[in-house]
Amino acid sequence: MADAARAQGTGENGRANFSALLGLAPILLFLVVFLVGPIWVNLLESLKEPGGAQGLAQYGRIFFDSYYLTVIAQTLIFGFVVTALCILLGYPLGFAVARAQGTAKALLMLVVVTPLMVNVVVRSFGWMVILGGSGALNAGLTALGLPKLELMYNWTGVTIAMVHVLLPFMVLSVASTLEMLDRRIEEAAAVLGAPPARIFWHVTLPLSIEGIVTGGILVFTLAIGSFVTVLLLGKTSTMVLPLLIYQQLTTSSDWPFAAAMGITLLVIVSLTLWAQSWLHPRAMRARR
Amino acid sequence: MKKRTLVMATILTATIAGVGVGFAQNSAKPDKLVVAAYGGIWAESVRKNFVPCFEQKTGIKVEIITGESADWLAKIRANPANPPIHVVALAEADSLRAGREGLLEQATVAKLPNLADIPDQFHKPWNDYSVTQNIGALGVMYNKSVIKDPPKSWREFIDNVAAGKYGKRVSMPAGTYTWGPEFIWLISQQYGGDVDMAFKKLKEASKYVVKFWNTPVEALNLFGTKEVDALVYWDGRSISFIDKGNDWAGFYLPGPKTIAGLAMLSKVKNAPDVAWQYINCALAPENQLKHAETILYAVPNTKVVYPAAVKDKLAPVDKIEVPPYDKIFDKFGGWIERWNKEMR
Repeated sequence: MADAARAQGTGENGRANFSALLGLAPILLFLVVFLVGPIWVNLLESLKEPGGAQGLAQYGRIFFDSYYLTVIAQTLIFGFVVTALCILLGYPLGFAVARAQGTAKALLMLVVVTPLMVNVVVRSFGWMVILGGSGALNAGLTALGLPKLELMYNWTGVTIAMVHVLLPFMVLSVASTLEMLDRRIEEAAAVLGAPPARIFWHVTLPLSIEGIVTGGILVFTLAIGSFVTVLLLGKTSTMVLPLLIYQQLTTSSDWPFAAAMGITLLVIVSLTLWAQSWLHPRAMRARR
Repeated sequence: MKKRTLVMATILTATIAGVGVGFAQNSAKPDKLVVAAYGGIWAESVRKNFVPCFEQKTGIKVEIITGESADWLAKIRANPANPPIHVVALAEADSLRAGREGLLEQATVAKLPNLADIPDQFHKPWNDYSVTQNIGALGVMYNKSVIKDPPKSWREFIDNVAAGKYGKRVSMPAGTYTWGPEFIWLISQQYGGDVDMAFKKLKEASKYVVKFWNTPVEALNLFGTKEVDALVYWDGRSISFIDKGNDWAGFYLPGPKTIAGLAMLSKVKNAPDVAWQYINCALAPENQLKHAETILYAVPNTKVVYPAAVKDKLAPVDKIEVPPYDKIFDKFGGWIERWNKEMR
């Protein structure tokens, strides 16, 4: 009797699992066609060697050449610096957006979101006009009798433009987390005599870490995958992996090498995200 | 035995049917012809100067898609059996690649009567898989109030830049630009064909180069905002810029010769045969002249007679040299890698 009930239960579970899988089928199909499929095609392309053989020669070109290793390191450092700057600038702005009311909030949101409405190429040309040797900033400095600054065609210009491009992602992420925060917790801390700085450090900041982490992931992955801003505002020395991929696809037309670099970039992003997901809970526990 | 015969018969029938369908697709009248064109004034010229001729002759509408050479090459590579573009305008190197990969169809005078009026140097290096539509020439645009006496030769220009004669106010194409490897070849020709010397000279010059440009638009932005006083640039784009009221700028072609930037027209393999008629319209003398007047680039058809006002603005064909692609094409990848590593 019990066996029959168990069997019936198992059968129902099986049917439920099957129904759940059936419900997920469109999403799974979408993932296979638009995510796994292209990655698989890319992986196969990266294994092509000159002469039609299959192997890891393209990866050898990347990992046994100090130039490409330097570019990988530059790409990562660039991603981390842009992310750090976006956190530093984006948190206060996100805080202001979250705590603002009415028209002020709408205006702040408009200021934050507007850069996203402008094409990345147009934005980059805008930065050229501002930061260039004869640009608005240097014209102002010259008028004040100050020396000109070299802000274009180096890491400074590329970083400024990239932070401008990606800052909204951090601001919106932090603001949405802070808006969900129960203000009564901060009020309780204040009632118990905590000064504002202490409330921020021990209550607000820890409770908004999720927003910083989410924004950080978005900014980092977008930063190390961008090439248009680096192409227009950088020069040969400010090389990053996505720009090399673009060059291999367009000028060199070396698709297997471009595919190998693409897979390398994908693995780097995946490892960074895995490290972040592994470190984050531990950091939170240590803080508690 | 019967089963095997049946299978064989089925395969044979399917093959014949397939060939038949393929043939029918190529020779049948399509709903529209898809033509690739570079954006801006290029697409405008195609719409104004080539499309009416084709539509009048065939009654078939033309759809123009704008973009870049590498992008079009990727699209026809992705679907060679049913290409999404019927007539492409690839850059020289991409044309060679596409021809080698069997993505294009060879032209003959029978298919393309106006080919008879195009000199060999504008189609033979591509084994007739592509024919030149127009000819750009690389020269120097400069600020006349700053550079009073621009050097006559490429060698003198590069040596002057490397010596800092114009200060850090120069811009040149990057080796990684679409025509970057051709630019490296051009510099090597000024030093006896020595590519190592070309890299050495360009490295010396790089101290005074604000930016090695990657796109013509950013190059024009550098010059237009007076960030640079000397810009190595294409003739048609330079003259259009000067004609827009920028009298302070001048343009010339340093000697002894300069390289050509060619837009190569090709019929994509498996595209409708009527595509030849479009290319024939694009190569017809009257349409070639209208195209030259619109975009201010020279055209290859020998029957074209330019009015004096236009002729002065176009690069003379005897000042232009088409690089020997069959000898240098396979070196491009190595040159680009070397550029990235050395020009930092």
